[in-house]
Amino acid sequence: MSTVKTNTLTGTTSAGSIVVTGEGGSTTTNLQQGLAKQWVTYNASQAITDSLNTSTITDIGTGNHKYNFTNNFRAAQAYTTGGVMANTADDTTPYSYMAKPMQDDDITTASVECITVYVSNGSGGFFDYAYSCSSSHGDLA
Amino acid sequence: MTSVLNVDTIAAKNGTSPVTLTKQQAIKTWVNYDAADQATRGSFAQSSLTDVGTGIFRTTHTNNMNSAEDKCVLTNHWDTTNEGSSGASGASEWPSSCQYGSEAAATTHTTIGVAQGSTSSGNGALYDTDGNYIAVVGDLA
Repeated sequence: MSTVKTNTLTGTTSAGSIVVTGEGGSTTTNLQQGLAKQWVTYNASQAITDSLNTSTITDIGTGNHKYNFTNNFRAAQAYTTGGVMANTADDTTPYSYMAKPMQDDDITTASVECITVYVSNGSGGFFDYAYSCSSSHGDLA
Repeated sequence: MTSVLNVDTIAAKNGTSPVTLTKQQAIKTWVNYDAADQATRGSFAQSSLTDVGTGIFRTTHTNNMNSAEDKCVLTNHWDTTNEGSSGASGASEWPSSCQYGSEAAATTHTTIGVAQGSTSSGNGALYDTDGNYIAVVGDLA
């Protein structure tokens, strides 16, 4: 077994593109494009518990939060984002929880504004959950 | 001292097998799809997208997955045309999704069905939402 130890990997042909072999050995995939470029976990007070490429969270309102990026994405709306929440550590309520953008314009190169909501039988609404998380995939600027 | 390794491709020392990405795994394909306009906003490792019908679309992977079932599909959906401020204002505001029917088990593609939420009339009906985020994690072929 051989191990290469380094602090930075850079493509030689294109600095931001390195190809790696797939697990089965018959295909390849791009290393950079497959990595999550932003993620964040936070609590009901919008205090960040851990994160990657997230500078701050802006509290827009109950169940409505904007994740501000440290490094921008290349194009607005050309990346993906989503997340999940929990009300307590042992949450067993019959609700479906979702963290998602409210509309296309909420997805910019510098931030994404998401709502954290629940849906139950005949009801639904915004809520600040004890545990929320979100991640984004796409190309950085 | 900072170390930089400049490469185009990383493979195991036999030249074909994958290398181990210590304590992490990358997304193998993702797409941001506008089902209402049948337009792909951004994608990675997607060869084509087929609009199967209302609320149903198929993303075909550039590289096959190693297993038809041993893969994790992440989804998120939103609808620009229905951005109301309360959960009861429209069922399409709270969509949910699943891998759709018999097409779920495939190494070459992933088919998603998106349905309206259960907060208003039209509960559970298949629906073309404006924003659809699909990402797949698992081993490549």
